[in-house]
Amino acid sequence: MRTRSETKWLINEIAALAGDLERIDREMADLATRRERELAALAGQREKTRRAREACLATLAITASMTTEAKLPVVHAHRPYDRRGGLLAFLRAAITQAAPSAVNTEYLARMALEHMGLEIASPKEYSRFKHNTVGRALRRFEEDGFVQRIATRTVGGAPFSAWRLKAAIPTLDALRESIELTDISRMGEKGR
Amino acid sequence: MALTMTRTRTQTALTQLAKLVAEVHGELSTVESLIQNHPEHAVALRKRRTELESHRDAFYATIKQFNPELDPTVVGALDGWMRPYGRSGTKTAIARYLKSLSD
Repeated sequence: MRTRSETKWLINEIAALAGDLERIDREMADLATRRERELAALAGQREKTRRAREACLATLAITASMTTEAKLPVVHAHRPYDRRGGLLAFLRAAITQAAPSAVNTEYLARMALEHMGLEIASPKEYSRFKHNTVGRALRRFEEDGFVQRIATRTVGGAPFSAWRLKAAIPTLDALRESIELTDISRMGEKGR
Repeated sequence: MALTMTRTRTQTALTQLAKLVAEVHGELSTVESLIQNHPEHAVALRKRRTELESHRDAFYATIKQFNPELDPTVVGALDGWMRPYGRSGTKTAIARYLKSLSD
């Protein structure tokens, strides 16, 4: 005997809705664990920061006899960049992602402005941002050995440089040495 | 107050912090030897030693905050801390130091 149409539909619908309920429960549990993990990470950051501040306060009390009774100011100077070192962290990530391609300050500036939702008032401010902020960051990265400058290219007369993640390129001597070390017996054979 | 320091002021700050660490190292080693040689002042000396150790930990943490790549344990010892008590190493200076601890 055939099942009645509405019965069949109802049973199917009830089963599908039960499946939906389970999916939603799973999503809620996942979100809860993710939230817990992020809170724990932030709590760890907070503890580290608090301990560092305590140490600096203690040092200030010892050296300058400036006790904590003095009301010390709070500074949020890096709010546009999320946190202290936020812009540098973003630039590092952008350079690493672009690797092995090279980037220049124009590209990095555009990405930073878009990603951080920064607002630039005038073209002069934009050029200063590119040259002073992003440029200095790149020069600092070069000092630290994180990026390398590629030969400058000229576009319409104005030279500019491109930068990319420093690749571990061995020198010719180092290459020769590594070849010798691996296979001395084959050194004389040609056309191998 | 400008929020970023010039290179000079950063260098000077680091030098002064290192000097602090060195003087704590110096005073700690002196206090250790004094505990051996002047057991009559042991209580006050031990109290001073605990105080110095807590100062030292605060200074180490401060230097780590200044630059995480620096290792404050490699800083040597200075005896400039003894200057208020007299010329370093003299018996009178040490006597004044011990007296100041006991007060």
